[in-house]
Parts: sequence; C-alpha cells; structure tokens
Amino acid sequence: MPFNVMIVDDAAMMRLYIASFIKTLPDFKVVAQAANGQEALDKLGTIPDVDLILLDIEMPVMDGLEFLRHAKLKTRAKICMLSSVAVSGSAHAAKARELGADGVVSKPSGTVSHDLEEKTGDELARTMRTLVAA
Amino acid sequence: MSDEMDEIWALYADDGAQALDAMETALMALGDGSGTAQDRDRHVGALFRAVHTFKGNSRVLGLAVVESRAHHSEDLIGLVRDQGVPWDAEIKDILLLAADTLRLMLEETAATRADVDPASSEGLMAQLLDKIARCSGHAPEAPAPAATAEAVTAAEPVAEPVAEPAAEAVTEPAPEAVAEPAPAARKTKPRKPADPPHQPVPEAAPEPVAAPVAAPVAAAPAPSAPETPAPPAARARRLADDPTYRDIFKGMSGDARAKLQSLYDSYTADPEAAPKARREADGLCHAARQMGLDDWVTALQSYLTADQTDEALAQLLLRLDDLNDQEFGTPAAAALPESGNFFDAIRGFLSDIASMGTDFSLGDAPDQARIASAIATLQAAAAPHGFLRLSESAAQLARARNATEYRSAELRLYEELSAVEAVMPDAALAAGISPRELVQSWSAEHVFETLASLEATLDRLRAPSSDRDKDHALLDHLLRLVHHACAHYRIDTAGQLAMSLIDLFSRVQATGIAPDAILTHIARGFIDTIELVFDALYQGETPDTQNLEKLFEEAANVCFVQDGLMTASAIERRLGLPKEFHRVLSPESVRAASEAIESGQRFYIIRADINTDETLAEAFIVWLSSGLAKPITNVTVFKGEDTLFDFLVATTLDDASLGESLTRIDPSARKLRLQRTLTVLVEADGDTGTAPTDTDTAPQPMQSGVTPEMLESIGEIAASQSMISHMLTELAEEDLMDTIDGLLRSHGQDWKRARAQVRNLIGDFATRLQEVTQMEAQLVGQLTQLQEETVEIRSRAISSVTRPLETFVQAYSRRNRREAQFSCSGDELTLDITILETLRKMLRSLFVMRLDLGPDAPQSIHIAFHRDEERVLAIIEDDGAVIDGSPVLEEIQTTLARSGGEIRRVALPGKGMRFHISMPLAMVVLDGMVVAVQGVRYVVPVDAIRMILQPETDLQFTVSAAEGQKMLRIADDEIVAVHPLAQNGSDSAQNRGVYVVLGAQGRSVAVPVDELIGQQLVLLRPLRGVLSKVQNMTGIALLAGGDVGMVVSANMLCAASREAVRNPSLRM
Repeated sequence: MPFNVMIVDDAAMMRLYIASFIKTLPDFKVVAQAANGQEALDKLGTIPDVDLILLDIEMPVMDGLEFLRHAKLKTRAKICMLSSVAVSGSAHAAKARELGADGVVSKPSGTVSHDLEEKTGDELARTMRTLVAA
Repeated sequence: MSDEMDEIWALYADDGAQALDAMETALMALGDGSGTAQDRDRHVGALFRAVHTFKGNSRVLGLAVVESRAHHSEDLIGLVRDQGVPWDAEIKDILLLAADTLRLMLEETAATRADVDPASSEGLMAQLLDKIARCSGHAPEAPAPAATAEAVTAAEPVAEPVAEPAAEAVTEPAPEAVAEPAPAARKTKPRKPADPPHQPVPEAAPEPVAAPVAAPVAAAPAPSAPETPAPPAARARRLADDPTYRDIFKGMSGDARAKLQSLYDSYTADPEAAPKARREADGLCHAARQMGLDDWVTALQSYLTADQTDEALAQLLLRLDDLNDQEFGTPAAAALPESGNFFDAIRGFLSDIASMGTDFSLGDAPDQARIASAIATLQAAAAPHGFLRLSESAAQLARARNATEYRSAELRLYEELSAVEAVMPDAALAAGISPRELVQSWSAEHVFETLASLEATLDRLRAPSSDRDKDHALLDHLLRLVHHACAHYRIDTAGQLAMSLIDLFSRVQATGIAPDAILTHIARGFIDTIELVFDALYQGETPDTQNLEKLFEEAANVCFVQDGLMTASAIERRLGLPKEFHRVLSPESVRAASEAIESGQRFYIIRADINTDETLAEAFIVWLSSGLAKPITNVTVFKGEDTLFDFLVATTLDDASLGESLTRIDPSARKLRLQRTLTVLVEADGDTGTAPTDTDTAPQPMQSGVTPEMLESIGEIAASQSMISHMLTELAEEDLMDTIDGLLRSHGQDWKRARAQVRNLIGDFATRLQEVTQMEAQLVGQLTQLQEETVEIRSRAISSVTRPLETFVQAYSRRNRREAQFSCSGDELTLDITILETLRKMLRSLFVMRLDLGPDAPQSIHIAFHRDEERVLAIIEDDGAVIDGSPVLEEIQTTLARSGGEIRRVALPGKGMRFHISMPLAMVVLDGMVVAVQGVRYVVPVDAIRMILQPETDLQFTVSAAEGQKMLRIADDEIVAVHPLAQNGSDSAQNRGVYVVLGAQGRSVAVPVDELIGQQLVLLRPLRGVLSKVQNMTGIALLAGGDVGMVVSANMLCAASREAVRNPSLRM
C-alpha cells in the first residue's frame, strides 16, 4: 500500500517534475496537487488520508510557511519543505523547522528544478521514507 | 534538618540585609537621577539586582507577603530599567519606603520564621501599584501571584490556584505552595510571565532540578510584545470585572470558605481555631480589597473587627455564601465559556491538568478517569477546529507513568497550544491565556539545564555507540527549548540559529552518518555563547550577541564549507545578483556558477512566463538542458496574479545570439525575455570568496584552526618539495660517467685536453647538488615554521577554560539560590586544547555535582593548577559537604583512567573537600632545545635549562668515593653531577665539552652534548607500552625535518643523579 503524497507548488512544471519523480518510487503515490497553500488546505479537508506533503515555500495566495502554520494543527501528514530558498541552515529553513516542518530538502537548481531527480532524488526519497516511517 | 533550616534562615537574614544595604546604597547613589545616563543605568541595574535577590530569597522561604512587596518594587525598577520610564523623586521615595518596609519585614521574618501580616504594608503596596499603573499606562495591577497567595499559609499548599510545586526534588513543602497562578488563570501579560503550572521538564533534564522556582527570571527584560495602554474605560474597571481574576478569586474564596467551615467545626476543640480563622479571613479580605469587591471587604472586616466567636464565624460563613451567589451566580453559569473562543473553552481543562500535575508531583498519581475527562474536554473544544495533533498531544498525559513524564507531556501540549495561539492570537488574547509565553518563560528559566543536556547529547551523537535516531530527536527537542528561551528574551538571532541547527542536524540524520566536525563545532560554539548570553541576562547585563551573528553566518554557509565551495554570498557579490536571488543559491548552483565564471562564460537573467503554458515550458527546459546555456538557479516572481520565473543562466552566447535563441522558442518574444545582462566582477585582492576558515570566526577558544600563514607555509613547502624532487630526478637521470666518457672520446682519450671540461662538468654537478642541499635546508626551515605554528595553535592558556567556568559556577550557584565564589591560580599555564577540553568537561561535571548539594553546596571553590613536564595537576578545594563518592566521580575516574590519569578526593578537617585531578600531558606543547648526542636527537625542556656551558677541562673531576661519578663545577660554590644521556653511560666521543645544566626539584645535573641544534616548539607524545620503560625520557617529539627526538625528563635525571651520588651502587 503506497503512501499518499500531496504536492504543493505554484510552478506547474515543478509539480510535473516532482510527480514524475514520485512515479519512480513504488512506495509513494501522488493523490493530490495544489498551486498554493490555501488550495492545499482546502484539499486536505476532502482528502484526509494524505501521508506526506511536499511543500514549496514561495507561493501566491498563501505561502508554504503560512500553510505549515495551519496544517500542522490539522493533519497527521508529515510535511517536507521542498524549496529552493530552504538552503541548509538558512533563515528560511530555520523558519520552516520552527513552524514544524518534519523535513526540509533544497531544490537543487532554483524554484523550477528540472534536475531534481538527478541531483536531489536520492536525498528526497530517503527523507520521504524516513518521515513516513517515523 | 533542624540545623539545615537554622543555616538557611541565618543565610536568609545575612543575604537579605546585604541586599537591602545594596538597595539603599543604589538609591542614595541615584538621588534625583541627575547623574550621567551611564551612572544612572549602573545604579538602576544594581538596585534591580538587589531587590531581585531579596525577592528570590523570600520566595524560597515561602514568605509570600514579603515576596510580593519586593516583587512589585522590582517591577517598578524594571519599568525604569527596561521600559524607559524616567527616574523621579516619587519613585525614589516609594522605593526608600519599600527598603525600610522590607528591612522591618526581614527582621521580623528572620526572628519568627513566618510570613508577616500584610496589613502593615498595604500602604506601600498601594503606592507601588499606583505608580506602576501610571508609569505603564495600565490599570492598577491585579493581585499578583504572590499577593493572591497571601490568603494561603505557607505550610498549606492549596489546590487552586496552584503552580510549580517541583516537589520531586524538594522536601520542604512551603516555598512552592505559594507560587504562580495556573496557566488558565494568568493574564496575557500583566507583567513578567512566570512558570507553567507545575514545571514540566524536558525529557533530557539531566537530573532532578532542586529549585527551579528560584531561577532569577525576573531579571529579564519584558519578554512579550510591547503592551498597548488599556483604554480609559478598561482602566476604570475593577479587577473583579476581569474574568481571569474572577476565576482566581472564586477559587480562593471557595478554599477559604472550606477552611473556615472546617475551623468552625472544630472551634470548641481546637484553641488555635480562632486565630487561624482570623488569618484566613484577613487574607481573603485583602484579596477582596484588591479585587474591588467592597461587599466582601465589609463582611470580612465586620468579622475581623469584632470578637471572633464561633457565632460570628457562623454568620460570616452564611454571608460569604450569599456574596458568592451574588457575585458568581450558579457555578455552572459562571463556568460557561464564551461562545466560539477555543481558549475560553479549554480554561477548565488547563486548570485540571495543572492541578493533576501538582498532585502527581506530590506523589499522588491522578485518577485515569479524571485525566480522561479532562482530555475529553479538550478534544471537544479542538474538534470543531480540526486540531488533530492537539488532541493527540493531550492523550500523552494519560500515558504518563510518573510526574516527570507527565510534565514532559504537559510541556509538549503547551508547545502545541502555542501553535494554536499562533493561528488564533486574538482568541488567546481575549481569553487572557498565552501558552506561548508560558512555554517561553519556562524554557528561559530552565535554559542552563537544557544547555547541559544539549552538550551531553551532542557528545553522544559523535560517539560510535550513539543511538542516533533517539539522540537526534532529543537534540531537536532541546534546541527547540533553547529557541523558546531565546524568544522569551527576544534574542532573535540566537533563536533562529537554534532552529538552523535543528535543520542542519536533521539533514545529517537523514544521511545516517554522524555529524561532522564543522557542524559539531558550530553547535558547541552556540552552546558556549548562548550560555554566556543567558548568564549576562540573569545578571541584568546586556549580553554580547556579536558572536551569534558569526555563528549564524557559519551555519548558513556550512553546506558550502563542507563542499569546499565558494559561498553563495561570494557568487552573489561577483555577479551583482539582484536581491531576489539573495540566499537562494544551493551548493549545486554555486558550483555551476563557479565553473561558469572560471570558464569565462556570460551570465544573464531570463524572465519566463511559462507557468500556464506547458508546451513553452517544456521547450524552454529542453533548451536549458541542451548545453547552449547552463541554468544556475531560478526564482519566482509574482506579478499580480501571475507567477513568473527569473532564470539565472550562464552561456557562451552574446546578447544577440541569446535573444535569437529565445525567439526561436517563443516567437511572440513576450513570454521569454532577456531581463538583465550581468557583469562578472574581478575578484578583489584577498577576497577569495571561499568559505570562512580563519580563526577570527571561530567561536570558541578550544577550537584550533588553519591560519592563512599556515596555509602559506604549506604552499611553500609543497613548492620546495616539488622543486627538490625535480632537481633530484634530473641529477639521477644524468649519467655522469657516460658524459665523462663522451668527453674523453671527443678528445681522443687525451685526459689533459678533456680535463678542463670534465672539471666544469663535475663542478656543475656539485653546484646542483649544493642547490638541492640548500633547498632541503630551506624545506626544513619551512617545516619548522609550520610545526611551530601548528603547535602554537593547539596551545591555550588554562584561563581559557577557567574564565567560562567561573561564570558558570556563579550562574549555576545563583540558580540554586547560593552565592559560590570561584578563585583560581596557575591558570596562566598553557596546555594542548585536547587536554583542556577534557579538563573543562570534568571540572564542569565536578562543579555541578558539588553545587547541587543544596544547603551543603560549597560557597567557595578554589582551583590551583600545576604542571611539570609529564603531568598537569588540578587541585580543587571547596567548603561543601564531605561525600563518599558519586557517579560523577566514578565517571571522571573512568575518563582519566583511560589516559593514565587519576582523581583523588580528600575530606578536609571540619568541612570541605579537596579533589586532586592528575592528567598526563598527552600531546603537550613543549618549548625545547634540540641537542645531538652520538647522532641521536634529544629535546631538553627549555624551562628546565639553568645554563649552557663549555667549561675548561679542569672544572671537571671525578669523585672516587662515588664510584667515579663525574662532577662539574658550574660556579665557585656549586658542583653538579654529570649525567650522560647515552644509554651506555659513557661520554660521547664527539663531545666538544658542551654541557647543558638542568634543574628540577631543587637539584641540578650537567648533561654533556655533542651539538646544540636549536630551539623549537614541539608536540610531545608520551611513551607508551615498552617504550615507557626508557629511563629519563618523557616522550618523543617529531622534529622539523622529519627527525624524531627523545624528550629528556629533567625531573627523572635530577632524581637519578641524586640517588647515584647518595648510593653509588644504583648508578645507571
């Protein structure tokens, strides 16, 4: 039974890349996608069985940090920030941790990282598995 | 116990008198405040600390009335110190009155060992509250926690409102009973926030905390957001109109009613019933007055001013029932929460769990049904909001098997509630409940224990035996507590750094390997720095947070440092990137950019409107992947409702070619546009842009590092070595004989004709050999310099350890309500940082163990350091209680035993302990004179050299009575034994009559040597195994040029010489 994943990213191409990458992982399945935090919150209400949320930070309407603030109260899903601004040890990464992000992975080449799988695929897969196993 | 209590009360009297003296001195010095701002700040700081100390002492002894007067005095001073309220004559007069009042109270309480009657100081309280209210723009302050507790006798803990019993480690019942209100009963920020209800503890609390209630939190600046003045209407309201205080008072009056009823029932049998009833009524009357409940005051005063007969008490009880009905109506109606406010709805729950926590701490495990009922209340309130995690967090309370687990669960619950507060701040404010402030203030109060646990966890994480997942989880939790503590004091950078460390360690955890040295270095630097910061805050001083900024920068750059890359900021600088790109470059992006700069490519920013056009997006990404341009990074740009992206690319294409390429992908030329052409700046001299490695960014003295000079030396050595290698290869490849044969042949085998050329050839060869020799000498010199720099950089004065330890001892002692003095001698000696780090950890553990002895803890600690060429000895002497042993000592012994050291303890006559810690000088840095004897290099400690002589032969003679012991006259009145270093005991044949005279232990010995090679700083390594049996040698040292030198022990030589002279048969 694969774990259910929601992708939250305002960049359509990035959602495609992430979804494409997750298709290569037999233990995960994308069940929902959202282009901003508000849309994701709404979808959480209708799709309760999400196990893991991959969340961008910079998004219109409601950004990832604000979503995190609300979602942490309302879902058991693990939340992994997947963002170009959340570089290791940076202020954005620190804020994400403060708000309860369970994992943080940096996009390798910016907000649209076409080389996600190539450069960060292993790290992302490892982090996803660690989080859902916890 | 009686003796201990005598001592505590005597201490209270002495300390209190000193604090009040200091208070008066500061008040006199302040005068009308006309001095310089600097002087005024200094005196106000001293005044604050004096009153704070007095308040803390009173609190520890459960003197609620005394404490409340001191507390309000402190609040008033705090307004001057932290809120910019100007010092004026009225404040001075009020505080002088406070000083007089507190002194009278001190005398009375020291004599009676009981709290004072609050009535006599009501005038002072009124003045303090009025002035505080006027200065802060608030309504006169509510009966503060201690003031409300005046209705409670110190010996009788009450159920509601209760707080912080911390009873697990405290045997005295009184102090914690008079404490803070339960969280639900706390105003959002009437003044400094205090403790969560009953001291939840972190899972990693290193040991039971004896008296956390006494932690000097009040010295802190106001932790919450600046308060806005209450509107005039609110200012005029009675405290009784405030639902929070209504709840407090309702609980108090209920308790008082029950006690009065009980006293009434035993009135005839108990002669103490009447005075007890009077005290109870008086306390309630005081609280009613502060609440503005005039009818209650009238009823209680009627009882108090008349004869306190049983009939009068019966009438009072009836009247109180009436008043209760009038004021609070039916209990059910009063308890109804305001509709829709989550925090109002959980008020009862918070009160319940606080109460159960108190019971648990006192050994009374809460009834599971009661816990379940409380949790059901929370879950009912949380369900409409969908707060799943909150409900689950509350469920942990039911699983707690002991008070510690319960407190830990409660702390976690409060952290969850803080998250709710973050999304519902208005509701929390309206309800007057702030879990966030409670968590923060609790964390601040326990930050030293948290930091100690953090350091221990960090040590474990680096150990091979670490249960990494568990330790990572603990590290995460402890760093969050530090974060909360930082938030309490608004040290934003430190709080952010704590979270950055969580991020960095979590990423390491995902890799499954141990944290590397760089990360550990940053974490240790953080712990050490933040400890000093909190210590400064507790002393009312302004902390130095400069180092935190550096550490944060290091943390932000750690991924670049680990990869040996330029930092992101260096790339930003060189490319002149716009602010949207600030701190978004990943290590991969930095690497790509660096390579592109190196290969001379151009940099552009392309704006792409591709989010809604999948085909165009695909085409653009394909182009980016084609090799024509290298994508470095990209950022999101929001334009109205559109999401655009700015791509930073590097390419060999010029502007025109790039524009052409983009137009081919986007013929409309509207969705892909060349936004900006960047210019690569030429690197400034010395600005390598590499990750910081120089020592000035190193946060702690224990950390050694590579200096630029060392890097330069290493570079020179590498160059020299390469050149020598090249020259030797050339020489080796040259067949000299073959060349000479050729010359002879060309001269018809006529040697005379060929001679000149052969001579030139050999001369040239010799010259080149000489060059190699010179290069080798130069290399040795460079190696010497490098070794000395390496040795020097590992060497630190012991004071680098004792200074922070002194601060630690004082802060830790204060936290335990003691004032331990720390002194030190011999800490100017230098040791290798490895030994210093070991020593620091052991001393810290030892001090914690001693300072945790409660009333038996030492008040004076002295440590003396001695070092000889083999060992360092630390002698710690204190005046604390004698102990037979402890796990801490055993652990220290185990650590020392591993390196050949030991710890001994000695009970001093009367009182006090002395500990001898002896450690071998593994890797000691030694200033040595390198000498040669029979081709062997020896290193003689420069400290031990008395003189170097090349005497006339007639100054040497032999003592036949001592089996031919050779002696040397080194002065008219001094003769010393000659002791050869050579193992065969004979003088060197090559001895040129040079003697090095060594002195140790009051004896001297002359050592004949062949050659004095020179002075060097060397790193001494002790002899191990069979080598340890080599006589008169301390260890070995690697010398410049690659030689190994035996390090001479002056101690052993002098001792051996003495024995040899005394007993010739023992001569070596």
